[in-house]
Amino acid sequence: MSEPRQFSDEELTAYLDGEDALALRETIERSLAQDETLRARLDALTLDTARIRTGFAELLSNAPQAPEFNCDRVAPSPMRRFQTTWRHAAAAAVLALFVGFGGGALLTGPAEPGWRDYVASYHALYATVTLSGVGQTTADAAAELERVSAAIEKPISLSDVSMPDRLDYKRAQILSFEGRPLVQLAFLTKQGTPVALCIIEASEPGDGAVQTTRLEGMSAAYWSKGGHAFVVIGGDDDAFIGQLAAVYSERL
Amino acid sequence: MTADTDASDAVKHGLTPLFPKLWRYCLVLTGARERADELAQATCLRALEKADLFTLGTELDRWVFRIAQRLWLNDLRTQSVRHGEGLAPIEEIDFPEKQGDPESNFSARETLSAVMALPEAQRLTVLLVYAEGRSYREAAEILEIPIGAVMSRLAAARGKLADMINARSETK
Repeated sequence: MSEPRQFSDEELTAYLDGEDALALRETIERSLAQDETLRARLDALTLDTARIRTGFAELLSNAPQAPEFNCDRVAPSPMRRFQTTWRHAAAAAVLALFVGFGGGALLTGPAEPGWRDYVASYHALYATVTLSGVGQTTADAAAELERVSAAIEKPISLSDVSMPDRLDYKRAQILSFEGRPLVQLAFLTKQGTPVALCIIEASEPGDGAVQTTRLEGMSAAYWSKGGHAFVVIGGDDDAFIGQLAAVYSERL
Repeated sequence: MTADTDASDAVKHGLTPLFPKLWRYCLVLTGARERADELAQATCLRALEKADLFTLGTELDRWVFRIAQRLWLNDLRTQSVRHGEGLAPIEEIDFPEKQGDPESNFSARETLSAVMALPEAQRLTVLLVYAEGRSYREAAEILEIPIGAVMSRLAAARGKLADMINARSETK
């Protein structure tokens, strides 16, 4: 029988973390079956990482208000110029970085336009590659839609959002705006342009017709219906986005 | 629209949704709320200044975390020490009081305190791998260290944390 292999704490840690390429999983597992000392060493490194995740997740909600980078859109009255003691303070003036004081002052004001701007800022980060790798089975997509529908109390089925001649449906996720759930459904056009349909429960019920606009340089259309507000956004083809909005405003 | 403008827009629009995670990263880095606030804001400024260097299609958070780290290591930490503020005494951190189940919150907060009591390099690695679920390779890229260093930091952190956290859970 060969000499038992010795493992470093680093190798055992990589094994516990599932970094298999580094950890020689099979060798470790074979040794664990025979080596009591190794089992004790592994126990001493075993950790409830879910608890770490939970603890750190709680910290996120305690982060201060984010600086506002798009000051041309937001009334400056509730804000104060960011005064930094840091030596690059001059940059603050050039870049017009503002910080909101008074707990969410930046996000208040006209609530509905606010959420559309945030949706646009978020969508601006989407590239084709953000979504091109996403592939779901029909059953998974339907289950995901059911989950996000529940968050905004609005039934949305796969057939509601499918537009196979124009868009490939990719995924749905629940975001949050001022503590309210915001559902984002993401698509790629046949040309690979990311498009999003976003839905939030309106602060005041009421129906509003489809209107087209430009947000962050992208084509967008918005409307409200039956207690929910909607935005479709993506690319720079205003007519195309207008057509999508017309279809979705009928279906949803 | 030029590539530089695209990159600048991506940074400008990406910083707001990213800010809570950036602030948390800064908190773990600096160990103190006030310094985390300052570093997070300074990082945003630097990111906007350097936005044309951001590579579209790569993760903005990795890029911004690296900026935060360089700022802290090269500049702000030195200032803190020079001004006699010392390095991140753990007692300074005012962990959030959350409503809800006091038992479970206590446990999560305790875990957080235990992580924050680790040396700076270890707690940052713990944040990236265990809280954010990143791979060793991603953590190594963000921290700009070899992958072996990620492993040794985590091994050391696991040894210490397992003692503290597991012992506490057994007593409950």
